[in-house]
Amino acid sequence: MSIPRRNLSRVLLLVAAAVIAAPSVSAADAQPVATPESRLASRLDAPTRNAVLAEVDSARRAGLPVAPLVDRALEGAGKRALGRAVSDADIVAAVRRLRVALGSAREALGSRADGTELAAGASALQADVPPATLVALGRARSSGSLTVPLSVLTDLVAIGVPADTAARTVIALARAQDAVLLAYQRDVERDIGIGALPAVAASVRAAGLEKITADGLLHSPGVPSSLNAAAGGKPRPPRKP
Amino acid sequence: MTDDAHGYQDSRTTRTRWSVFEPMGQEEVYDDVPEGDGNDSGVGGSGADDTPLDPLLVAVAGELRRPVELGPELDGRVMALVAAEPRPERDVSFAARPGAAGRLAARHGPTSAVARAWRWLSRPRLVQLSPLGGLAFASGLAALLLVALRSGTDTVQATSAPAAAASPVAAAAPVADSVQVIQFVLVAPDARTVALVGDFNDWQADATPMRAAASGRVWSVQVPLSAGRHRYAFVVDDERWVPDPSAPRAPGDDFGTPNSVVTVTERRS
Repeated sequence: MSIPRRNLSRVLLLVAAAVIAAPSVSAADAQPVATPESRLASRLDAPTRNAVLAEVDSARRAGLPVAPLVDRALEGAGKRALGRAVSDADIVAAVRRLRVALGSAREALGSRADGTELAAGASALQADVPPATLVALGRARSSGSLTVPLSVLTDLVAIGVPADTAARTVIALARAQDAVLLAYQRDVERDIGIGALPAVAASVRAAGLEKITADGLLHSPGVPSSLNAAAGGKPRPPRKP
Repeated sequence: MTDDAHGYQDSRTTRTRWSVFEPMGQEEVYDDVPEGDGNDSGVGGSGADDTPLDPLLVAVAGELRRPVELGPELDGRVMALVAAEPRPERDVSFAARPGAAGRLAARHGPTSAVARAWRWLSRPRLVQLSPLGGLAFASGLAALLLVALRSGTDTVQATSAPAAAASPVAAAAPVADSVQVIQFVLVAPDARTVALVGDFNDWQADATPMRAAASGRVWSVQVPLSAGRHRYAFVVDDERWVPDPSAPRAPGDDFGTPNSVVTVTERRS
């Protein structure tokens, strides 16, 4: 087999370029960019779609995330498709309320909040959590994403914990890692499920976690090291034999 | 020690016994011929001891030392014969050679397609590469390795979902830093079909059908979700909108039908 040296070099260069370019091309094909217009095109009639797109444009100009607005409109369209009594006006009104809530979340959380944090903040506001609580939570958790704390706060309110109690407990645990907060929420849900009062369950579970995360008890031998690490505490030094 | 029809040498005694074969069948034996005397005749010699040489021996040695006269046409004839001989093929010893080639030849015959293919594949070739060609070859190999590693990582991550879970959050399994596989489960014994709808599939009832377990009571599906908060619900029998009984309700019930919510963390911690 004899391949001219010059041709062999060209062939190898072409093969290398094709191999390197293939993943990016396939990734681009696998993830087409879906615009709000394309997502709404086949789901809403033209007047409703235009009204929703006007809200989307307004949110975009304000620097707010637009995907939650499109999601809300598609939720209304999906429910209507299954026979629910959802009018075009209901869809537009729901999208507008969400845009307003996103704007309020932006004011409360500041310009550093990203799209998921703003969406979680808007959900909290729509669950009747006061904007001041969002501000306090943002101050208490100076680093890290606020998405999970805001979600836990909203979900606690949704399962019956009074808003002020939920706000106090989540702010107290604001420095904990996301896994600890989600475990706390599940524990409260479980307690409520077996008959505990929501406010009591939230307070008792939070008090237990506050003891763990307090510096004085962080290195207690009774606290599992994994929980210490998950609570954001310092790693316990190895025990001497 | 040598021992043949023409002579022997006893190295133990330093005495040499030479026998000269005569055409008449007689054999004369000459003793006491000094060994290694420097005479290049090899048979006797005119060493420093002035031993007289047998005239017959000298005559025989002289005859043997006389160069044979070869005709000038001999070289041509020999070279013609050599050129007429077929070139030795590799498969002459192919069957006798140990290893894969030999086994293939023994099994399929030295001229079979398998044996010929193996010979074609195993025959060494001289390939010349320029520095640019070598660089291209190396970069191609590196790119292939990179693609293999990347696809292998994706495969491992995509199959890391847990088998079962009681709630959507507990079913989270890491796929990437911002995407996790969430398993949704609904107990619906009397359902004919169950689908999952949510922000992640544009609330389309035909986008994410759920599969029933063998008992037909438990319906489940696994969905990769990005980090954040996702609203969802179940659609039973293509008409009933059912929130997840094991998950919190989403606030902002704008359309008169409650939804559930699942929170996906940035990464497993």
